[in-house]
Amino acid sequence: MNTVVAKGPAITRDEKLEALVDRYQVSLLKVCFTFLHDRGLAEDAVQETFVKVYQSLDSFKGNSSEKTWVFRIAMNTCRDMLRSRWFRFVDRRVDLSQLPEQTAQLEDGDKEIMESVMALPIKLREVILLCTFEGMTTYEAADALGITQQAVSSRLKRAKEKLKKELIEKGCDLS
Amino acid sequence: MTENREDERIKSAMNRTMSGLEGNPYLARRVVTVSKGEVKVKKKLSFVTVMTIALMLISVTALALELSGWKIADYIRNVGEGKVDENFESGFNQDLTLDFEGVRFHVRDAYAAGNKIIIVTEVSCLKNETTMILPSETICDPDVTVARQYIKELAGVDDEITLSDYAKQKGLSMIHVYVNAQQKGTYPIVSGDEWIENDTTLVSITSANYLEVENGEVEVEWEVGVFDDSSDDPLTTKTLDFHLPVENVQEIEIDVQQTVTAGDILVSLDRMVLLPTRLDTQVELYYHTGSRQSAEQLLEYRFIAIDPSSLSFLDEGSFSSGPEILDMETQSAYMRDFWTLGGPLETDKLYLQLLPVYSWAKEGVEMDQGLQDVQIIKINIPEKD
Repeated sequence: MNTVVAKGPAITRDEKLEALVDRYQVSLLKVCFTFLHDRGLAEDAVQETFVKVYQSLDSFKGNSSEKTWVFRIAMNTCRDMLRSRWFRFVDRRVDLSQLPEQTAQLEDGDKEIMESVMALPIKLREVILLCTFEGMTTYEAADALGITQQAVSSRLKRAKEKLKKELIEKGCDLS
Repeated sequence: MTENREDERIKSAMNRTMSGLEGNPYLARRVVTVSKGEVKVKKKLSFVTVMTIALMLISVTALALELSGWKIADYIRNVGEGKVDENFESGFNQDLTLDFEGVRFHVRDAYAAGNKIIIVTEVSCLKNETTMILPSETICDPDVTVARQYIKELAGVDDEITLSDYAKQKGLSMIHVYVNAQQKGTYPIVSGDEWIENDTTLVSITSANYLEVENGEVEVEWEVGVFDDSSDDPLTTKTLDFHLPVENVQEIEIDVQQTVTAGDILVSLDRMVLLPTRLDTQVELYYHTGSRQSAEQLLEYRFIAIDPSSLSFLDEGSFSSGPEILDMETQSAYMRDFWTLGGPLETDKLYLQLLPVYSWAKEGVEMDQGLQDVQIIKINIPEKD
């Protein structure tokens, strides 16, 4: 007996993009802001990321998870911006004043933690962003950053040690 | 278990601190438009970015220029293609040097005018001629940063070579240094940039605003430091205070009193203050609306200076990161915005549009364009006395 499988309407590329933008835009914006220290540049980086995503939607084979793929593109975009001439004009201080007013109630130590994460060297900041903030496994973070799992674990350890030390100096406890 | 708790604490703190960040509702549409090549992508610049760019618009071609011994005007004229007078001299003539941790920091040039201080610091090693000097690792990771961005002699060399690889090839060790300069006792917006003039000399340019002048001078706190990761205290700094004469700038205050609408919100542009220095024109705008709620909505709008004939922005990309609400108590909400136009003031009129941040997301509109259907405010600039 022949079976007829009912198929829903095919999802267009534009619809796929819209779904990805809905899903990842805000978390990418947060990651890019922490990475680049600048809200305007972070918005640019997110847009650039989705342009690259849109252009390579057809070539995404699913060898890594969709999230890892999108974040890999975002991290590379941020790194490129870091290399570009535009980035070098950015305020060197960690400045949270350009963030819009919080919609969530801040707790004691929140700003100190945020500032300390932003002040980490780039390589350590990357792993904190992906593993701790985005909850990726070391395997996923390694895939997104194009480094080994071992390197991720070692950087994560160093990043947390540095963070704790910084925060203790600021009189802030992580526990 | 403890580690999980710590991770959760970090994540929650970051999420709460950034909880005000919202997505752009037009982003997907914008991405499709950009991808199809219908709209040219332009970089959006924040306030601090613009503050410095107005002075030091760098061009990639500058990497091939001879940089040695440059002062403020050289950077603006040759690197930034700025409209600085050929005869511009900052007038700085003090000999200020700090030798510290084997590194020599020297103030090569300095200038204060309007609302801004600019300092050019030269950094070199005292004895070791095989040490490359870099900015802090937070802004310049040598494993990530491409060397040619910092070293102009490398123009035409492998585009992707990192500073680490470059140093290895040249047999150079690396140290990271810190340079900052601002008015003593203040916490201004500080921007900066660095160039490596040669393998062992770094030049740092910092620009700080919120200047308060006293007796025609500003007291500058020049802070320099050297990073040493192997030490318990990775950054040690030393400070030298000095007085810098402030060039007299005639403030132009304009009583504007014009109204404009932003969506349904009626906005009154009350006052404009211009500070035209020999390098740029600093613009302060004071305006108000009827309620705090409207003022919060207005945070998503910017007054932008435009050329009315082409509707293009006067100083390309000169967005600020946002105005501030000055009066939170009363019903009316008073606001202030501050940005800089590149170059000295050469016009007797200024045209402004109040544009939504995402106006560029409209189809067919480029980021550096005003909108055809938005009111243009013309402001007559009185002649200087």
